[in-house]
Amino acid sequence: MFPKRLITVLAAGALLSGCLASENLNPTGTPDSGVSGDGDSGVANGDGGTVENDGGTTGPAFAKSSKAVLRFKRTTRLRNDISQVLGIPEGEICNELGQYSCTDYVHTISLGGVEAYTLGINEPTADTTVTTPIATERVVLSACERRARDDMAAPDGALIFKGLVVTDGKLDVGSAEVAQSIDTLYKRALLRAPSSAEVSHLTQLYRDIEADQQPNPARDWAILTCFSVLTSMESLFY
Amino acid sequence: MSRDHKNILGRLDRRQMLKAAGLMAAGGGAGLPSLLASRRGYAQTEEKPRFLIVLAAAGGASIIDSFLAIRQSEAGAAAAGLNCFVDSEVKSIADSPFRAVDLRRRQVGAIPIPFSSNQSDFVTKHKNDLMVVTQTGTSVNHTIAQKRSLTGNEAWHGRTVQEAVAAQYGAGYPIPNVNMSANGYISPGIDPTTPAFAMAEPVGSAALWPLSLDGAKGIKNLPSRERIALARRMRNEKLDPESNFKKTFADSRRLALWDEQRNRTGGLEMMDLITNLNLYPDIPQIPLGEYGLSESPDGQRVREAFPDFASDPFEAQAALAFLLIKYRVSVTVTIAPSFNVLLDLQRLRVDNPPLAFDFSHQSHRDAQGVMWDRMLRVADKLVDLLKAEEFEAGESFWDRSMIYFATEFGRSKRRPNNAESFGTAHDINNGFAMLSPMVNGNKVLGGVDPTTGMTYGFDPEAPQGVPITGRNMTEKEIYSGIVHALGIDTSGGNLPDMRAMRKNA
Repeated sequence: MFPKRLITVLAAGALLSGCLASENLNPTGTPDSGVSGDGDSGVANGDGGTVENDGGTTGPAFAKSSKAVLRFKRTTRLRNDISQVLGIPEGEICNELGQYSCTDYVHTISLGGVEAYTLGINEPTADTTVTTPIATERVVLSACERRARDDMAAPDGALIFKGLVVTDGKLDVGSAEVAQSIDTLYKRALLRAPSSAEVSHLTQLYRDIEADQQPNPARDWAILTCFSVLTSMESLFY
Repeated sequence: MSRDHKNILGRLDRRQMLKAAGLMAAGGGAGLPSLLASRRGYAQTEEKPRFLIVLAAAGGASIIDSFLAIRQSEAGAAAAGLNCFVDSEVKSIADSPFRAVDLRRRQVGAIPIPFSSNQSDFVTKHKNDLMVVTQTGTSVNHTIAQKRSLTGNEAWHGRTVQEAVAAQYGAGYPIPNVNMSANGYISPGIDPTTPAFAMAEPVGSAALWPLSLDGAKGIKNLPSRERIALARRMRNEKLDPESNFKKTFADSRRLALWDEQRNRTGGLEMMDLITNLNLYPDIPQIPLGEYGLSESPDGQRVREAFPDFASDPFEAQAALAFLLIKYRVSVTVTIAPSFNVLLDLQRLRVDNPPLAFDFSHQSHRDAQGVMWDRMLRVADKLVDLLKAEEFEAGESFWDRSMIYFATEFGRSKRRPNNAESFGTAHDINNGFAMLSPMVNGNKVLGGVDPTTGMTYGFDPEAPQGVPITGRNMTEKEIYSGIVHALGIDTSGGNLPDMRAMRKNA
């Protein structure tokens, strides 16, 4: 009995420390200071599912949400956010067959929207459906292709992929410009800096892309880096 | 469409476990196992599927304006005030208890466009698979009555007939339950034990919906599919699980659902549904070739059956419904005409009156005539297409299918003094039509009083169809008859045995 009570007390203390710590965190529970350091000390891995860290590889301890209430962005918010993050007018982020708006017409229902006037669908689905991730990927891929194309056509004036040096379609993935591009993308999309692990994963993605010996690895990496971040759970749910 | 995700992962029956195993094997970007599971279809469930198409007759399709129509001469003194027809407009069908109403009118209510409607050809052609049952419902509210026509007023814990079919036969199908209708016809059931995979996938624009079945195909200048797969895998296996966001919301039901849903993407893409379900040919308005797309191998055939699919959403829905079944994507599909007016001014034709069947408020006879004709034409084409498609070993898809003409309610039975143009209200007394080789075909179960227009019930145990005046069939009984004709296991559900509605009772 006693050990159980002790655990409860420790858990409460850990939870409290998580709450205090959260004052220095942005709403996603991640530090504002950029690349994360080691996990903070003194708090063990969650003992009752209330507080966890990752063993010190990517971030400090944080409080696990007990309610875990999240919502998918749905069509309008998704469209507006992508437009703002990538600096593309709303009407240009994705048009099927070059003509039909992905978010406002073709995939409206799949993306959790409503269309009361012509379809009579005046209530959105409560949850995402099988086609929601696919439609989301189409929208994001289309927008990311546009962003990468524009940025690489004018590197100095680029919005996200700025100053990338591309030689024979390839990148120096260890360059400062690559790191800066990733940093810019994260700050625009997720309002935080990437962790070192996230930078590592995205640079490894380039190496994996280049390894297939197909053309344009730099361009494809830019598209797919944008795609990976903008279709991450953190980007799509709030 | 809220569902407790524990139903997906925490309470698995054998069928669900097989499906979950396929999904887990699919992992990040690899879709092959789930594809194979899909292709195995019923083999995985060891049960041949049966298919249900719900044709939702939105607005209130009156059974006494079709198969149970009343002639003036039968109504006697009541004829002047009763919704009955000039005798010549009600056709008797040889070797059948059904009737059919063939009309010609100079306008559709206040819309000055003539129409003709023909039910007799349809009934003559399909009488052996047609069954009409009477029923008295419990609501004259459109949305509520729509939903009750699918749940039998929560006859089986609130599970819709589509969800019941999808749960029984759809575990091996990629999108078992597709619903293109609206309002109460798309409202989810409330049975918390319904597996998540059996819940309806809503569809907005049917003709363009196949574009939402591939994450990349048809978008210009994208990386190769292999490179996109690399990014997906990195995202799914690294970025997301390692993120503080995911750890913070590790218990999120919606994130778990998202994870499951996106892991099915690869399998869907490998089925090339963006092509196989694509109704459109390559035309300037739909420049498929320019975007690396092409039409379905069945495109020409379905366009011949539904030539107005590009302008008439109901025809597009019907065409897609056939392809979803043919390509073994779904075991149940729901389609419905909308409440929007659809005029073909070139051919001077009212394709869809405003409010569909509910235009009966303004002009009962015209609305019922146009809309019944519309529903039966679509049903006829669907049957033809399904009959021509082999399911296996000489058995056609139609041999395993049912079309259920769901509707909210009937209409009030009165008319003012011999009026041919009059408006009607909603009436809970009505009936349903079902079309299937699995139902007790060429039967009217129950009947209609020719002096009041009110339908009465039947002996649910008697396959020969024994009418019982003074008895009204309930929503629960009709629901039970439908699901049992479709072979649904409702053990423990306390549903009545409706032997009269099954072919092999």
